[in-house]
Amino acid sequence: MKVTLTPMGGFAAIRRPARTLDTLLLPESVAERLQLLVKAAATVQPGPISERVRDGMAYQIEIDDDGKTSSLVQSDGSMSPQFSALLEFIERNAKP
Amino acid sequence: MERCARLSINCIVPPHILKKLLESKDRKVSEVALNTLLTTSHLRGERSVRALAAISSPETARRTIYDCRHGRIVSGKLARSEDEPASSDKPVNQAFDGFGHTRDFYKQVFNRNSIDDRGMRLNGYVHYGESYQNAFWDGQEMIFGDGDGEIFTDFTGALDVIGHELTHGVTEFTANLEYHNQSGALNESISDVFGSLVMQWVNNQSAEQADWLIGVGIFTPKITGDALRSMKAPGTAYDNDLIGKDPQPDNMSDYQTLPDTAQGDFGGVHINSGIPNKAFYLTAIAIGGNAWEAPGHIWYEALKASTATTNFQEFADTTHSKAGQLYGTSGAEQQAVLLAWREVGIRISNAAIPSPASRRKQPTAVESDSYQQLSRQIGTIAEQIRVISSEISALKNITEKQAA
Repeated sequence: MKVTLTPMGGFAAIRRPARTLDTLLLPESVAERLQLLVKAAATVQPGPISERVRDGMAYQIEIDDDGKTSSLVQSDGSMSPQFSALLEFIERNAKP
Repeated sequence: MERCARLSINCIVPPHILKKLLESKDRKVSEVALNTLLTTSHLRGERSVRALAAISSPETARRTIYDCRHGRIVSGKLARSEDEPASSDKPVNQAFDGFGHTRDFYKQVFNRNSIDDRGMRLNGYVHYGESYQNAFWDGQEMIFGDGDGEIFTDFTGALDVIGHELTHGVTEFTANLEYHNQSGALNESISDVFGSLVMQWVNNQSAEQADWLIGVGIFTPKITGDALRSMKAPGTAYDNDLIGKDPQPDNMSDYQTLPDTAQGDFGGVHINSGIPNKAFYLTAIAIGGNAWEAPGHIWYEALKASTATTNFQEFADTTHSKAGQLYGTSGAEQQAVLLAWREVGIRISNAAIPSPASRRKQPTAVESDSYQQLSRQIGTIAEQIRVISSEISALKNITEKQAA
């Protein structure tokens, strides 16, 4: 499974580098953790998007699971705890 | 269940719970609690409740900073409140001070009592997320990241960024410009304008002295670039292999039509804001002096007169109109506004462009007549003084002869 995070928007509105994690290249325990986090994030819907957020960031996480692709997009101010956990995991383990 | 109004002694909701609700961050909740307490207290006597309301009243723009401790939930440990001394945590103090400067700016320059003009509390959350490379306004509070140390530093260190975010709140309580397409770009521009003015005001910089850059110092030294945006020269703030080139246009001819999506920056709200940003810069330079004075007042009044869907043309027209109302029709201020918008590609509706000749200072026919009249009056007075001097000399001679 390949998971790619692309941050968007924010105060700076600059181009931000993507980060990718490939389970084939990770230690087994880390790969398993990633898969669990992806599953949890994909299952839970985000909270209602707040119309009042300004300069918040949005995060696109693309999942390529043996050719089957899907995409999750959530934003500051409304993301689910599960998406937040996946986001933080990718940021911690993947370099841009 | 009996209504409180009928029970002058007991209420269904105990007063200690109502008191807690008075301190709610949700203004509607605190207002309802206050009204309930005042209603019930009216039957008992108001003094104690009025005192309580004053303590809990949202009318004092109190600052409170919380430490998210690197979590992504907007909540945290209380780090510093209004009456507390400085923290050992620098970002806490920087956020606290930045809120104070912004609050004071709006009060002293525009007589505006906090974001909502009713003393709204100013709450900030620092250390949000891990290496979070952003700061944002969520409708109620400002959230700050620490930066990643690679591209960005700590976001509490930039006063214009703080002023920018809090101004989003001001916009929400005034025009409430929708956050997409042109109204959204205006929303962003307004925040850049007043964020910049907060910094200029604190540093006592004139329009000429200001650098007109947004987010100076937010980048780490590894990034070659002056700032995130330039109001003076949109499109030149940065040019870097890692983050690309500043995409802002400075003229309507380069307006970017982008998708109204997160990927499209909701129609380019941070991109097309360069156009009204430059219009403000040009206005401020043309008028001269301090940009928070005439230019700032024109823009502030125009903001208050705008609506959720105001676009660039409408806002430009409103600034022109407000300049005339505040400083006189066809005055230097109004001319500066008209020419500034023209330079960024927006012609003010129903306003003639003054010719270069008429823009030079020439005395009017009325002024010429006045000078001549004044000159005649001075001549008359001079003649009268001469006559009086002669008569005094003659009298003096007569007196001396008689004395002799």
